[in-house]
Amino acid sequence: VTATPVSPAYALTAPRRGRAWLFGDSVDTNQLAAGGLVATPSDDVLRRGCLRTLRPDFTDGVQPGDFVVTGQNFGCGSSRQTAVEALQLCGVSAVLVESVARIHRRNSIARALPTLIAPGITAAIDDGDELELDYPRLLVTDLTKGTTMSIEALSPSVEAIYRAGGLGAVITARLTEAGFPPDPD
Amino acid sequence: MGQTIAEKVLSRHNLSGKEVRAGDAIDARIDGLMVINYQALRAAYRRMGYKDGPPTVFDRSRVFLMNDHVQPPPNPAAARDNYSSGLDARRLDLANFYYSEMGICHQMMLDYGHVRPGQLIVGTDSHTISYGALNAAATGIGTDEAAYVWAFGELFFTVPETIKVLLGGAPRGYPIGKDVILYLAGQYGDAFAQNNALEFTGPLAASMSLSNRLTIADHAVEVGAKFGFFDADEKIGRYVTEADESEAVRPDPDAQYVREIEVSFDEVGFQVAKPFRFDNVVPVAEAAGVRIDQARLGSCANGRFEDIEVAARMLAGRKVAAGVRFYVSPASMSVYKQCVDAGLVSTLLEAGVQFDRPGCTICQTPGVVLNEEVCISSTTRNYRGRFGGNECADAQVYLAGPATVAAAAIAGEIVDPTEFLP
Repeated sequence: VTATPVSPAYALTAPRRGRAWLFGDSVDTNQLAAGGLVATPSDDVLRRGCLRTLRPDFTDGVQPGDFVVTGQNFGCGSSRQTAVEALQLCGVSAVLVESVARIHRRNSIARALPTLIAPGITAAIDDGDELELDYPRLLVTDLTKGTTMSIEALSPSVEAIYRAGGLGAVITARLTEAGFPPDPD
Repeated sequence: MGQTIAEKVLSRHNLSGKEVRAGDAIDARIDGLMVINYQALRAAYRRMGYKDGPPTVFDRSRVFLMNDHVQPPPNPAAARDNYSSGLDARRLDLANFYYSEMGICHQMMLDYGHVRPGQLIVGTDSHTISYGALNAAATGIGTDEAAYVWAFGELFFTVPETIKVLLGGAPRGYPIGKDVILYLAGQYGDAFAQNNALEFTGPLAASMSLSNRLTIADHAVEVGAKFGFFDADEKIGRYVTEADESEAVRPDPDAQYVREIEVSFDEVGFQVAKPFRFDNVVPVAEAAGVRIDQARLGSCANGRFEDIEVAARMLAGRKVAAGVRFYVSPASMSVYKQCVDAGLVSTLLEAGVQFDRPGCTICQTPGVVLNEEVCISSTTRNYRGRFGGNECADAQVYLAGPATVAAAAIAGEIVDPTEFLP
């Protein structure tokens, strides 16, 4: 994956609207990014394969800014970071979950894809509902139903990584400080 | 108040030097970084503006770089990836670079003595957690976190709460680690240890083989754990030379646990995880009679000598059922040689087993399972498309221990292995 297609930091600063794509519990990394033996699959392969096994309509229908909404243990399985990047390549702006597997949660932070805990969300919304995520107020509004629910705050140190645009930016800054600036363009 | 193993290891590694408790957020010093899929890490550096990959490394002797996942390279692109990782390894003078050896990274980390009790180790594969069987705090990380560790030798952690798991029952003359962890997943769910550390203790934890402990610690990630610890006793001497007793980390008697679970293998017996989840578990009798097309034995979970030895014992003088493909893959070249030296390979070949190379392919492909087929496997996961990708998302994969896999290969269907066990 060569670039981060959806600018990450804004998802934590301004309200965002998009369609909800609803999935169940324990959506594993094989469904997010198949083929763990390929270290660097092409962006196109990653995008087209994302969640296809669970919802064949997802990759064709998803629009930039949409939300993936899932149950418990989202992203369980392997440590592949492509599981996060595949969602970003599909244009997903945030993932709203009941709970998230720990490596996937950390990869989401590293690549600055907001993955936020919204207790009870899978029962509260329906697939296709229009949602608004307002992270500063820690709220998700279901615009279709006119209901709201709360999301859990990220820790300040994690928020700082999101605001930097991901761990890569943190590494670059620290390496530059240590005398290893990036190559000139 | 006393400390758990996780609290002790993270206290020792806390960069601020302060003693820590569950819930504390810390920056920790890393003892070892195991890297596979190096091209992804190199690409992460390229994205940051370092066109030739990482400009530096925190400690040339604490990075373990392995090309194990694509060995032998199946195409020119993979060969090129391996070749260029060698260029970077030379440029950065890495002391531990495994260029072309077949095997599973985790077994190679053990075989080459890169894991010691009490260490904090991270790796770009979720089953790095298996080193907890040697009393190390080990866990899987993603590419960009590995890029961070590669440069700075540290990483941020939240100190986890710990669940104590008391294992009871009589040890057996065959591997039971898979059955124990499958049972726990079936009872408590595939996220029961999410973000927690697990401490496996009790009489069966003490009496079981190191290989069984490695199976259980490996699968700690399949129930969501951050770490999965066993005690450092004399059994770890198989992989840790000149172990120093002071390295072992033991919990204080008054350590605080978030939960305690007790399980006896005597009441558990052989377990099977049905498709497509690790926690979709039933006693083997409830899956008995399911006809199989393929059986697989290997992986970081169950590809060691005693996993293959039990299959050889069961298949001696018997044949793999007609129409069944039975693939066996030793976890490393060292394990392979052990199997050859003990005559297991010959026995299994006579029975009709097909040997696959040592390595991670046994857990993925080749060895496709088609949508209309059924496979029983001792490997790590039974997710949709595990053995063939998206096109094979309906292929039925059952997970079980080595004895149950071997029995199914003989019978051509899932069956209680007891009658085949000598």
